[in-house]
Amino acid sequence: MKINLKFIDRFTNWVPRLRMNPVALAPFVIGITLAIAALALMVFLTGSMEIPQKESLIAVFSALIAVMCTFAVNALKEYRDINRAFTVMIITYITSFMLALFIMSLVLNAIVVSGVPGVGITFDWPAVSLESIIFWAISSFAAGIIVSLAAIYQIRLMSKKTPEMAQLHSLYAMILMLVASAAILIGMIAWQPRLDLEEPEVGISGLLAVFLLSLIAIFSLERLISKTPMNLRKDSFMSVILVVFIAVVALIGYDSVVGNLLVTTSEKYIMYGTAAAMAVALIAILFPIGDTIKINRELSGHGMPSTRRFLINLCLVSALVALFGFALYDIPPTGNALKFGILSAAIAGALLFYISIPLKEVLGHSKTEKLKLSITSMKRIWMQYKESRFGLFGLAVLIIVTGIAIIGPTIAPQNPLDLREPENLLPQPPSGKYWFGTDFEDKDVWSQFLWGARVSLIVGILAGLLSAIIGTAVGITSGYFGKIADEVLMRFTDFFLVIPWLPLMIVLIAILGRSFWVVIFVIGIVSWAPTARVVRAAVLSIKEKQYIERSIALGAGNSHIIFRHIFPNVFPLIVATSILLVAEAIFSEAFLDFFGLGDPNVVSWGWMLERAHQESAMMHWYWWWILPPALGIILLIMSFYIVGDTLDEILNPRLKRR
Amino acid sequence: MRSYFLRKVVYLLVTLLLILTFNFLLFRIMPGDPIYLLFPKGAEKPVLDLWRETLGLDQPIYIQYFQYLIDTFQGDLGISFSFAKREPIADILPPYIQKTMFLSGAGVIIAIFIGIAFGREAAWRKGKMFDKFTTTTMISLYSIPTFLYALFFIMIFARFVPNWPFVHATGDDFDELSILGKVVDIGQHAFLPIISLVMETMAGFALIVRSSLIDVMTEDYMLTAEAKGLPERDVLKKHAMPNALLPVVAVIAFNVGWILGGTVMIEYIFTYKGLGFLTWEAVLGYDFPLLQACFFIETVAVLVSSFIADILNFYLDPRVKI
Repeated sequence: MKINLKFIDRFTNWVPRLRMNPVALAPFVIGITLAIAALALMVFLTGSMEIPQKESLIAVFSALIAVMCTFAVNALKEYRDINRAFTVMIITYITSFMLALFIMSLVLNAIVVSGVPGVGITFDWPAVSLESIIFWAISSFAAGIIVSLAAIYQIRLMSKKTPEMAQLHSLYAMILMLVASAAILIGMIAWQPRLDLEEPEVGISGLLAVFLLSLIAIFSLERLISKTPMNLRKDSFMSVILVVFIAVVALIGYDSVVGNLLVTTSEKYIMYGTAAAMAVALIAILFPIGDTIKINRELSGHGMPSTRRFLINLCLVSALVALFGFALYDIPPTGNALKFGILSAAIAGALLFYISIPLKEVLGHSKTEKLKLSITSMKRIWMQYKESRFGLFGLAVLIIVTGIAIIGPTIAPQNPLDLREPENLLPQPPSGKYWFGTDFEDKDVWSQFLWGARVSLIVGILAGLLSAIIGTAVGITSGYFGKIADEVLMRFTDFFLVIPWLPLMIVLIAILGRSFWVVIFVIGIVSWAPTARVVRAAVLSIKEKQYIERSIALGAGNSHIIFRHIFPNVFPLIVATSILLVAEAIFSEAFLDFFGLGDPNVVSWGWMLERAHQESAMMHWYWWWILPPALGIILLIMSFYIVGDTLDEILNPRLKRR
Repeated sequence: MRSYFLRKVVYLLVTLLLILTFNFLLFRIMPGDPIYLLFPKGAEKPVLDLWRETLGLDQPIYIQYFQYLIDTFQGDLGISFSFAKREPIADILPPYIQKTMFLSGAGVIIAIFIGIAFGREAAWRKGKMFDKFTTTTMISLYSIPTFLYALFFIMIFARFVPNWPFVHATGDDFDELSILGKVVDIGQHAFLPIISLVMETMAGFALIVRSSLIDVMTEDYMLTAEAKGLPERDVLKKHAMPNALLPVVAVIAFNVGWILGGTVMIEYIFTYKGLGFLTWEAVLGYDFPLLQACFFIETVAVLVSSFIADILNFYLDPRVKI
């Protein structure tokens, strides 16, 4: 009841403000104008009033997004707290960027299909010519500038208190946004309209790149602008996220190049774009860390010595280098990148360990106590875990496979993707030279096995994580808010529970194209429903607890209750279920690869089985070719099941079987 | 009671509509013209225009949507692109559906019987050697993906049983065989697919039955039954099992999607020409209308079976009626 009233109250408050506040109206006006302009342009270009169906759909969608933006900006005014305000702003700008992208893409779509009459430029279908790329570049650049100008205007309004600071920050923000727009433009080149099936993976990875790049831009902006004191943990957490983003972007850049995104000359641009994005992100990471430390020092009076500050920066840089190394892992044929990556990861880890020792200095007393508490609870969990022999076995297998995944390709005698002259025409059984024998192309099975572990593990973990995130979000939303949200989300969940999972994955991959990231995305998006159910049930029971009522009485908002009370309580449950999800994701990945829907250039255990099946190795008793990947998959799945189950019994004792 | 049915039917219809919408949008969600999904690049523009008109892709999207709904309810699932004569999909499907139904039906029934038997005995001997052994075995069996069973069985049979048929649902000379020969032939071809399918499913069922039965055995009425002096097996059969099987019905219904997934794998490996194999062929030939139809049929099958399970649960479990 309470929630409802609040909502209505807020809504009625917004409506008059919508008229009054030009800043709040800006995204709305921009969005609507762009949508109308795009439609008009389309009418002009196609020469008829019949607007293609999909384009009109997208235009309507963009307008909707614009409306959402407006509401988000209005929400800004609700918050006195600048941190929260910026969170909302981030959302606003993500949506604005996406809006700009949508509109630009649909304009371009129209141009590519019909050419530009009057100017005399026509574009060949389906190739995206250089002219269209230039057009695209300019328009997206313009969009970026428009959005960033709007952003800067708002920021200046927000930091009225110190005009000089605001000016300086606007300058910083301007520069950053320009670089970010450049990065976005590259992303947009990657996301060319999907006109044929030959390069299907480009669509999704390009879109992802765009999204991540805009996120990076937004984060960097937010970091640079907000000079309010924050705690180090939050900031370093942000930085870790950013580092992961960079790794992903690097991978995507590589993915796009390998996926024959654009022929020869254009590949360079993508490289440059990725590099630009990384530079932005680097700035975004290093600046705030330094700032936070400075602020913390000022606040606490006895700050960190400058050597340690230097070490922190060094550590972050080496972590970056490490991730670059990992990102480049499967570019044949050097293998040096990986060794380099491992080395710098080790250095980064050691440094992190070193700087994390005098935590009290940075974190303050209460935080240190909290940390100690979490360490003791970890110890307690481990003490219980040790009791289970099964669990230890599962953990041992997991550690071994992880070890293989990390160092496997480095110690493998051969690169499975290399072309080589076969010496034997038939697969050879295991021998001293080839421990696991060879396959039809006279390639070493042992090397393939070592390479395959990495992909199976990475896909499993990422896909499991993705579905855990979706499931948790859906579960908490529907459990906590109830009513219509619950009803709608649960119908949706039921739908995903009921739908046959494997055919759905096959259909999605057939549409989205075959690539490493598509497989992760598809597995994640298909398998979240059970988690949502479990989390919802848990949230429902927690919601009834008295302390929730008390904190509502004390005036806690929804987000406070969700993040401070509900999420920590369902977290153990999520951990246990997501480990089980990882097991299922590994299974799905193996089968999708086996079915021929995986990325053909990525070596995994499923890929090995597919090749064996194609050459009908089963018929000829080439057991040395089949057993390693098959047993690898089985052991990995089993170990995840066991570990998940053991953890479940420790973390969620109420669920223990009688 | 009527409201229960009504609610279930309404849910069924809503989900059906959701699935249809989903299926419709799935193939129109990517940027660019959907016609390029169907035709590889390099097709002539007039040809494309002709097909766009034939398939109704030049219509506004909501008209296409209603057209799709109407067509589907009239049993018109579109035209296949990869089959030589561009046949209507509704004519292609029946034999494939039949084979899949046979395979998954037989697999599920066998799995249910074996699974329940193992689960019951394990729960009855809870904590004993037999229970530990069965549970460990079942957990191991459950962690092995269905398609790996198929690979292992093929490997072993190819090595030790000469001339065993591995591909297709029937032999080449099927039409010339006598009735008994036909039965043997079908059985031989279906044997490996079915046992591969049964392994994982059975293990899952056994584990569910075991845990459900153990839950039931802690209830008070079990103590009452024992105190009455009933023979132990009667307590199991008449009091424990009926109650323990109730949740199992729901679980089996929810697992139909899972089983269908297993069938897809099995059919692909054994070239058993059912829906799963057809799905594979559709993916291979970029035959999106066929893929859409296969997916639709599979989804509807799962939906209907879960609906039936709901109804069954209603009759079996008096608590639902309240």
